[in-house]
Amino acid sequence: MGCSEGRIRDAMKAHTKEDEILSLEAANELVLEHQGWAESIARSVARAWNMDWQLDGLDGAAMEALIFCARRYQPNRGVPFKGYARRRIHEASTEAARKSKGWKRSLAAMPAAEQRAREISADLFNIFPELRAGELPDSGDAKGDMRGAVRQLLMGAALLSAREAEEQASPEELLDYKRMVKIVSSLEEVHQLLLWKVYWEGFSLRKVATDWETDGLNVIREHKVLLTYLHKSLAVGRGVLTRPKVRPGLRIVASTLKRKGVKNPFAELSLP
Amino acid sequence: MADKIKDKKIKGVASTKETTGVEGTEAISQVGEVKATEAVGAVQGTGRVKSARFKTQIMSREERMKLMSMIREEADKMCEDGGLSSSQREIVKSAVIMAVEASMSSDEDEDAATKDRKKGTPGKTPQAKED
Repeated sequence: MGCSEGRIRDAMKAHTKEDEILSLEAANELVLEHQGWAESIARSVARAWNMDWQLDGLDGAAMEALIFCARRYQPNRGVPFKGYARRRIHEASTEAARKSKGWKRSLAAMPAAEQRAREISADLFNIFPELRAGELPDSGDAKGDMRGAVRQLLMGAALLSAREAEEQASPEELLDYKRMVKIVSSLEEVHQLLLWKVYWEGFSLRKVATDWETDGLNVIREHKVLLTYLHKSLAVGRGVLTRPKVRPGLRIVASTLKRKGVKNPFAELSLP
Repeated sequence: MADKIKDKKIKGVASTKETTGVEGTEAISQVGEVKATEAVGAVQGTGRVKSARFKTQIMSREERMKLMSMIREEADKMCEDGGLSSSQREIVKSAVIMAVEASMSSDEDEDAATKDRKKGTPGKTPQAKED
């Protein structure tokens, strides 16, 4: 291990400042050095979804992503390689898993509830990309507690599950989400639209921010506030909480949407 | 040596091809007095980092177990007041557990991968099912 690290260091020194990326030799060393690590990511994805990391091609996808990252890695930027490459390797592993025959085959064999749980868990990575980096979402709480992060994830999963129930036109299931959808439809228009775009249309929070021509943090922070509010509203039972106000950074977006006469998507959902 | 230098006369200066004249300068109207600096106060301890993210990839086994039981506990709470039915709760709970487990990679996995490669006999994930 030490010897190999030394070789990488030497190769890094050899590359000139003009070339920001590593030489092919150094990149290959980097791949060899991190092969076990990349495989461990593929293994964890396979284990969580009850798949075979090799038969289902997760190992190859992780390796390809590792090579891709090593050849584009710019050490001068001061970002550690693992921090730079983890998301891409994880994404490649999950994409390979979802495209594999094993995914479809096991879907047919497993109970409907487990099938849906797996689909929802895969969608959660698009809403909380920090999971790919091996981090829990920022709870937005000053205490920085783990419980807040868990609540965010559960609420996100509940919204995704409600969407699936609505898509499958299952009135019995949608009835289960009736209260949640009612709470959502009482939110400000801009908030409803944010949740609709992310959970029903599958946009990332960054994409929503780009479409609305606003800073990504405005949308990300508002999303956290909304999930916290929804979770509290569900936990409070029949009690009524004050609905969240639109943050200053999104007020222009909210007024533009009102001017354009954008309809509340959740108000139009046909609930049984 | 000194004589030799004396002998070398400067014959001429080649004229510069082009010069641009300085258009003008503005007078400095007023110069304020430089005040004395104050002593720099001692650096205070760093405050607590707000809303720090928990890294699942560096969690110990106990921490992971605690996280999983917290997910189950919070999912049950969501259901207590009629927020979700029990069947939906199970789906939501399983989905979050799967997502968190898939985001975790442990040193044990890495060691196992390295061992497999050395042996040349690729292993399987502990819970993976045989086809």
